Amino acid sequence: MAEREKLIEIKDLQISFGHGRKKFVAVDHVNFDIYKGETFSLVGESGSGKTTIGRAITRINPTSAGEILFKGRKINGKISKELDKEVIQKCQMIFQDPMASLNERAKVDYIVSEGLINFHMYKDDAEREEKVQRALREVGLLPEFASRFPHEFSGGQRQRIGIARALVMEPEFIVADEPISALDVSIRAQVLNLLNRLKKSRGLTYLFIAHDLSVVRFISDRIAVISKGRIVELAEAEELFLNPLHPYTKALLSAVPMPDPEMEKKKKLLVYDPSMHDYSVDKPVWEEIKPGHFVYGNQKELEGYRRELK
Amino acid sequence: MPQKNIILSARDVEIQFSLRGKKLNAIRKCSLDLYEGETLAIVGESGSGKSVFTKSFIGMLDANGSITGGSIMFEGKDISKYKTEREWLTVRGKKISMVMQDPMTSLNPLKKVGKQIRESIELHQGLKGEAAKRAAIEMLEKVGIPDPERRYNQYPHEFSGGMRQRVVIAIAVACRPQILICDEPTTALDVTIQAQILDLIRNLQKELQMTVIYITHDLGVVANVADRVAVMYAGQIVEYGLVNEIFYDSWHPYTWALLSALPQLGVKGEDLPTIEGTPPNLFNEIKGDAFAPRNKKALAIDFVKEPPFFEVSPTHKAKTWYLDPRAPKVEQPPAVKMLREQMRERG
Repeated sequence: MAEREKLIEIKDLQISFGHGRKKFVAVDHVNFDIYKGETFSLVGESGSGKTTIGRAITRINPTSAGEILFKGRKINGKISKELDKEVIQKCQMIFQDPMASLNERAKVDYIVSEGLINFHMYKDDAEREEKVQRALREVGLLPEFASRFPHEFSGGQRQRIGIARALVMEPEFIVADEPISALDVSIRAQVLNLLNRLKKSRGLTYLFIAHDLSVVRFISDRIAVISKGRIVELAEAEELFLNPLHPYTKALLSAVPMPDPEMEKKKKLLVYDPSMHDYSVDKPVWEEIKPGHFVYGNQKELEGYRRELK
Repeated sequence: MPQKNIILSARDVEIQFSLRGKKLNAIRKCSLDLYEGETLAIVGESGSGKSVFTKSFIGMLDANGSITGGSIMFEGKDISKYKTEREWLTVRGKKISMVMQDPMTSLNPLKKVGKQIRESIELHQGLKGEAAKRAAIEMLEKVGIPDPERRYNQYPHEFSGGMRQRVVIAIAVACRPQILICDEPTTALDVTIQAQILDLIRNLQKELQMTVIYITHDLGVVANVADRVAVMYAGQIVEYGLVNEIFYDSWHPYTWALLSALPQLGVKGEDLPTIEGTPPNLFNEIKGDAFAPRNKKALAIDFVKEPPFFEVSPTHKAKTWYLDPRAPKVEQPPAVKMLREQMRERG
């Protein structure tokens, strides 16, 4: 599948906060590519740095080393104003909590068209309104809703407003940061369906950030598992579920509750202890252990993983 | 199933809230028997009344809400008639206690955790000074907090989310309650931590011989912890049964909808079945089956007459006309069949 177009390439990315003695490296040595038209998921527990990576791609967090490429052009660090504008427009973000991410004092019309206004993406007011209405209709909201305030909507509807706000900018790439974690079960399915439908109709590419592996299996093409700022395993969704290699991936998988009581009662919980890795002599590498299946480990561990795969 | 003792019995409970001069019927004639030592899970979407219903067992309804009908029998007394704080204190925190959803907001940020655990020990067990402190430290140890003596003197902000939830659990079980109500105890936590907390509650339950009620909307958690499940919709229990009966052979269309909407059971590339519409407005009187307007395969009678409970097995009942012998034959949805087949295949 080498011919697939890479939309995002991340090379040896490092993101740190603070300076000098207070410096904290949140993300280190991260490498992955996102192909055009796929849903790429980043899974890990809170504090693992998954959101930080998403925010770095949309240029919210500055990076401290490494490169992020968008369509082959470097987009992190100092870049030209035109490119900056293009990235901000083409890479949009959907946030976790629809209660907190919408301006409470603005009407939906303004919330959705704020990006358009900043980028002068319309000729006259009529065109702007037309664009807002089209975006609202696309996410399954009525055009009349434009004159209402966020507090008049339910959680699921608000998340749709958040999606409409991203769509109106005609993005190619969307970072969806836990878009369904804050929603009720019955509404989750609706939002997932909507995201899938938009992916097809608009040819979107997603970076889907989540902590729940079970949801991710349904929506993603490929999954990367991140722990403490490092990606430990990356594979196609089904492959990762069938042949998890890294102990952290296994621990995550064992912790996911499945809606099947017999299976749940038999299940054994695996606990991941990072001190099990002895990296003092044998240094770990990021290795493609099987076509498309990457894992992080030292030579001894990789040997064990290979045996497992057989 | 061997005959078990009923520890708490709610009969036709009705709870109303007055809001802006109008009456909201949050709980509409809800009945529930809780057996000693079991783990019961109550599931439903937000607003279905699952929290309100269980809060009424410990007299923690908001000031504008009250129990307007029915009875809740516990230890031979009807606790739904309790009015004063003094009466409630004989039950709440002592015999029935609660773990709330968000450990961030249920702990007092200005008090050391040791003091917060001592509070309930001193109030209900009458221990003072050193003895209370020892009991509190013992509790911290019991809920798996390493180095409890040092942790005793720390503030909630010094704990991680999972550890904080352990503290909340320590407070709740400090007085060895008979019933522990866990209101979405793990929703705010990571999956790996969630699994640990569920394990902890299970171990404590065994050790202290408690009866546990889980309130959750995560059916994965339910499958993991529950002996029995009750499904709530619009202020009523619509189906209840043993956990296997609910997952492998449910009959209420709302239970079906909940199970079908799970991404875990979805087929990749296809749309997940969704529940259209919104729950009914509880300010209005509800006619017939409350779920009928959202149910694409609702029967004509669903809109006219409220269904009674029909028995599927001695332990499993569902409140739907589908089970009436006169009803046309209805098929269970693919998700329910799939679960059952997977279970059979495993043997």
